Amino acid sequence: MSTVASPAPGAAPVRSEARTARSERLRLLLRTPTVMFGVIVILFWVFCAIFPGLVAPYNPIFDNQLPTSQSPSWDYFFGTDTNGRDVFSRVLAGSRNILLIAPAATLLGTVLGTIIGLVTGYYRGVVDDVTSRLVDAVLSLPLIVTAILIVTAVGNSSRWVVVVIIGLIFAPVVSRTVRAAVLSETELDYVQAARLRGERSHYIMFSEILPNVLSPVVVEFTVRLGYAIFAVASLTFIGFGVQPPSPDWAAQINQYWTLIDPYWWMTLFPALAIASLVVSVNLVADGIREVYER
Amino acid sequence: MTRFLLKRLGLALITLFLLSVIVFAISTVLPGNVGRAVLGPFATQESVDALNEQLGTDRGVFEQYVDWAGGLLHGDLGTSLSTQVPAWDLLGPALRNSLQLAFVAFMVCVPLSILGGVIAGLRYGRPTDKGITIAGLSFAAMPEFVTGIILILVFSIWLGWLPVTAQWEEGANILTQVKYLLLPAFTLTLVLFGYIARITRAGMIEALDSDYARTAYLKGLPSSVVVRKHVLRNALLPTIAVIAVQVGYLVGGLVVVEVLFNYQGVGLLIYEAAREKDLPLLTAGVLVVGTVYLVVMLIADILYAVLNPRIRLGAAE
Repeated sequence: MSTVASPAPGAAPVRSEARTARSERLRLLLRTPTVMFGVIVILFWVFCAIFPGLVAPYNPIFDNQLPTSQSPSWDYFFGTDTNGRDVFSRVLAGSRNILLIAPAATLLGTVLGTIIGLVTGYYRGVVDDVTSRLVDAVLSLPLIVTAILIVTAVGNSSRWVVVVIIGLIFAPVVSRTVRAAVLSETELDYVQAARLRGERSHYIMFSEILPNVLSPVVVEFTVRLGYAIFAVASLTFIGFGVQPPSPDWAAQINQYWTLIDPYWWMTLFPALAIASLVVSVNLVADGIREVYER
Repeated sequence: MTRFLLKRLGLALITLFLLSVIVFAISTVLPGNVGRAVLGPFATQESVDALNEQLGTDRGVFEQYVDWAGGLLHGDLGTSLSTQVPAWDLLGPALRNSLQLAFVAFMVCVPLSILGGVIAGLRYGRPTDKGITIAGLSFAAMPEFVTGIILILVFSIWLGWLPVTAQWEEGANILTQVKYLLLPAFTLTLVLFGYIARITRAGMIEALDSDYARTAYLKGLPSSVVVRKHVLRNALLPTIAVIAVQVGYLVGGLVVVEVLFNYQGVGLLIYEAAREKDLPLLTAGVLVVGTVYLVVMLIADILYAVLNPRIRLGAAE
């Protein structure tokens, strides 16, 4: 950071003030029990996704290694499935897909949405009106319905197609939040000053306004991440998401839920794993929102 | 008031038009070659061309849109590819079923959620409030199929109280139908509870903290009267807006629940159309879902305006 370009006398204290606010927020977050619980669970699943072989007692992929359809016991904590695989090992190995797709989609949606929100909030006028109506139109369809339509039209549901679809659907939602924040910023003196200095619009948008609307962007990202996991899992469950050869919770449920009576363990444990992940992400997101909006 | 209504109606119509453009763009322009997308990579070129000619997708994009949108305005939603029946003949009954499920879900969900939110608001900051808030947040976060599967396991397989699917026999009376709808309705309730309770709670806290509530307490009114006559009325206004948004979710977001419980609604129809690559039926279904949502939002806007004197008397415009 060169202070030569902007010799404003107040610059240095403002920066350290921002840093204090940041460490204060972090301290508050770490002191919230629900946030800590969420962080631990998320870290556990991230660990399992990175080192799947380290924690699973049996091979999670190959068929017919074990007796088929055994109910839970001390040998197989979560039982075995009809293909003779250990359900416990498959649950531990099943977090990888969702932990790749959901954050990637959320990141894409947040970046796109922030850009759209900055541009529409800054320029307003016709661009803003048209975009707002388009956003309304996109938002009148539930995410899952739009996703099914696009997957069917494209005829492909590979990992990256799902990322792009969810990212594109999230962008309008994020843009709406960012736009609202930008609208109140453009009234402020520092934006007027930058305009009078003759700064270019993209400089004002991305270097002046963006740093000041980062709080809602961060909040929006964490909240969207929860929805992304929800959406990815739901799409996979109804068979329109990624159908990987590797274990995946929602794909396991898709495969075995018609056998739920009497083979409940093949479905219940992956379902509980999904529940633990989405609830944790939402607890953390809620904590972050509260800390940022106080 | 009239100006407000006209403005809302105009905006809704514009949004509806844009919705039709977006749906058309995704279903007709995005695949590049609709015949190929429907028949798959192994079909012969002749059969692909024949299907494109039958669907009219060998023409220019603009011409196709005008033709399709013109049909919509005459109530023609297109013809289902797999069954060769007008799409509306399938969508109409399915929509009625979905609305029936949404209605039962609402009867269960709205009173429970408002009650939860009011209790949490009254006990603000205490363990009851924390419990309700965290439970609501957790259930709202969980995908419907996760809560649905857990409910099926507990209430139909282990306890044997309720049926596993929502498929009742022909001619079942209304009580039996409701019994079959309870589990899917509860699944939806768990998802919605958090949102509605949260807004109600926030409204309660704000209203309890207001000057008029303090005045009411200070002039010696018993707290039950303060809550009923002064706080609730103001606290529930934002709740109505949220409930309306959730109606939209209910009608369209039913896909997963209807697939899970094998219930013949719009969601299941959309799912089956997509499975069979029946693009015309799928397109029509998606458009119906979006339209229902827009209509519900319009009604909610009007209701909100009628209930809110600041808009009713034109001050907020």
